[in-house]
Amino acid sequence: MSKFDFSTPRRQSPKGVVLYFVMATQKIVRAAWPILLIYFFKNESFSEKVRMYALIAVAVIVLIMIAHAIFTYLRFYFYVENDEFKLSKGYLKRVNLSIPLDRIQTINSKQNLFQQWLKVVSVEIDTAGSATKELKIVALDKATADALSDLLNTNKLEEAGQTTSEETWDEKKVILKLGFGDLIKVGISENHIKSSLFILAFVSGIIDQLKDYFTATYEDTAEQAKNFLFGSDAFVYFMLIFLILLIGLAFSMVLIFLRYYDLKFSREGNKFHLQSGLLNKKSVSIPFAKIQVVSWRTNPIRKLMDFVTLNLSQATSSIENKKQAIDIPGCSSKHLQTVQAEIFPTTTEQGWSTHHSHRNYALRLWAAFGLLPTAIALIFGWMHWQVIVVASVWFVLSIGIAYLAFRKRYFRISPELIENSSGSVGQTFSRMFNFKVQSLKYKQTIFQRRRNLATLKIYTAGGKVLTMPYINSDIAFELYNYLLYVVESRERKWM
Amino acid sequence: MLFENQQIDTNKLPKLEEVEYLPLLNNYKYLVMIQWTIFVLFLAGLFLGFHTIQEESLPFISILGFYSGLTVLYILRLFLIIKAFPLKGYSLRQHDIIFRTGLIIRKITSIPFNRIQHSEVRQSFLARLLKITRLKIYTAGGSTSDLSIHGLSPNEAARIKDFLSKTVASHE
Repeated sequence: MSKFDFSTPRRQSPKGVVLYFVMATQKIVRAAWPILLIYFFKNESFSEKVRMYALIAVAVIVLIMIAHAIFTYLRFYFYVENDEFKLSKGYLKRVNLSIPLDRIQTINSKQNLFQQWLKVVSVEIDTAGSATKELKIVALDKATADALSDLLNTNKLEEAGQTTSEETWDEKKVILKLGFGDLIKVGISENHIKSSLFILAFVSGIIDQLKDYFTATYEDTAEQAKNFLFGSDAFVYFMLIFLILLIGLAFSMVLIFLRYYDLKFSREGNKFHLQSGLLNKKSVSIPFAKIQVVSWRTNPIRKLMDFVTLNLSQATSSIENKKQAIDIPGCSSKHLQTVQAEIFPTTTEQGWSTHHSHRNYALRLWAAFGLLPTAIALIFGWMHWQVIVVASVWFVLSIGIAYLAFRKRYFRISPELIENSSGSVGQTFSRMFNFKVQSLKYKQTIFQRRRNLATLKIYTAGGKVLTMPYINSDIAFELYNYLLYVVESRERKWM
Repeated sequence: MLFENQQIDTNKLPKLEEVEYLPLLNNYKYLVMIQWTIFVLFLAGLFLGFHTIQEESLPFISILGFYSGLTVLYILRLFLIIKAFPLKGYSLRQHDIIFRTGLIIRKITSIPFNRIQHSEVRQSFLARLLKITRLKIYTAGGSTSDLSIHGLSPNEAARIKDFLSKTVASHE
């Protein structure tokens, strides 16, 4: 580490200039892509003069961006002084940030495609304070980044080391590694209906944005689509649905590979470490203490292949920064047990009590998602046989889904932990320490009051809310009182 | 029973069901009524503008229908505000703060003192005229879990805020 001296202000890697330029370009392209598209595709329709002005404008913008990149790079310094990490940046608006080393929570590093190509990484420093987003260095060469994380981490270890035994620090245990085959399995088990809908929404969003520029063709196509939708027979619909699902599957696969390629999940001391990604490489550390809720999601396909998607919800330092929940797909039941044993070391399988939601929950779900949409669809579309078919299929299907949703709605409580279960086709379990509750809400509608039912909501610092709908209101009150008692009587740190 | 295998007697814990709530200031009721009145007048104005600039005037029956419907809804809303008001209340216990509200949907929210991030006192223009304030309490649980008690006197709100600040500081 002696090679790196962080006590004097230093700049990032000079490659940062290129990176800042690329980042600025990305920003502009993202904001102005419809204009650019028109410029390229409808080039002929502009006069010579307009085209020249456009070229000059582009040249000026590029020059400004180069200047911006150079200034940003030159004015960016970071160093460690008096046990504080300091960062100063900005050429128009100067920003000086400093954070005491002992308030640093985690150090995460990321690498997108350009950074991989330039062989630099970005380092993000997460603190317990509020001004977190700005503590980010985007272009460090790998060796400097490692040295910096080491330095910042060592400082944390020394402090925390007093409370934990020495030996744990040297251990580095790989819990899970995903290979090519695992990723294929994970991809197959995704919710393809959801990804199909996502694609449809995305495509229609793009069409919506473009329709102003290509009005004539748009209306033509819309008319054709309408004719097609109401003029075809059942076989065509079947093929169409099949095709959309196929695209959904391909989309899920691509997404899974982009996000989870080369995934490694390991334990180092009292934190987890996760790294993954194909184009955007990401490396995150998750201290046990910061984990608020551990959830795992399963569905029939995943059950068949014996794995779940694990999700760790972390306490966030700032309210806007909601992206702190971390997904780890492809965890077998054994992996899940290992992780649980690390996070909830003293848990036993005894002393749990289970409470189910009342069957009125199924009734209400069905009324809202089965009966009402069917009724509306039939009122407005009874003249089309297609609508009638879809509506009646949904009417029957929704009964089954509501029943499943009711069967899977329950919570379990032990003196230490609470576990909530929800789902319909799939199932999600969320487990947390009782003392990590942030606040509680008891809710009762007049319809619930007649049957002595209520809904309880448990708010956590990861932004996750555990909801127990339509439970007996006496149980709800008892749980409420008990959780308040646990939170108020124990001075254990929730973060 | 919550636990089949009792370790502590949950019946002996402080009970939420037995909490006595402090009422909010009457002016809060009037504030909400004024806000709704402004909103309804705004809607009526919009509709008036709409059917006067329309070239073909709307049939008289639909104009009458709109205004009478709006009036009925407005009166119903006022009635609900008056009925719901006595149910609203807050309570400070030894370790937490509780807020209750709702006639049709009853809600009871509580935040333990050792989970409070910070609190603030707010006052809108109308509220200032009516001499009431709103106390907002923030937790780490995100915006949906925050507690907002509207209808406190400025003194009371400041007093609670000071008390909370001291308690929060002592927990750190």
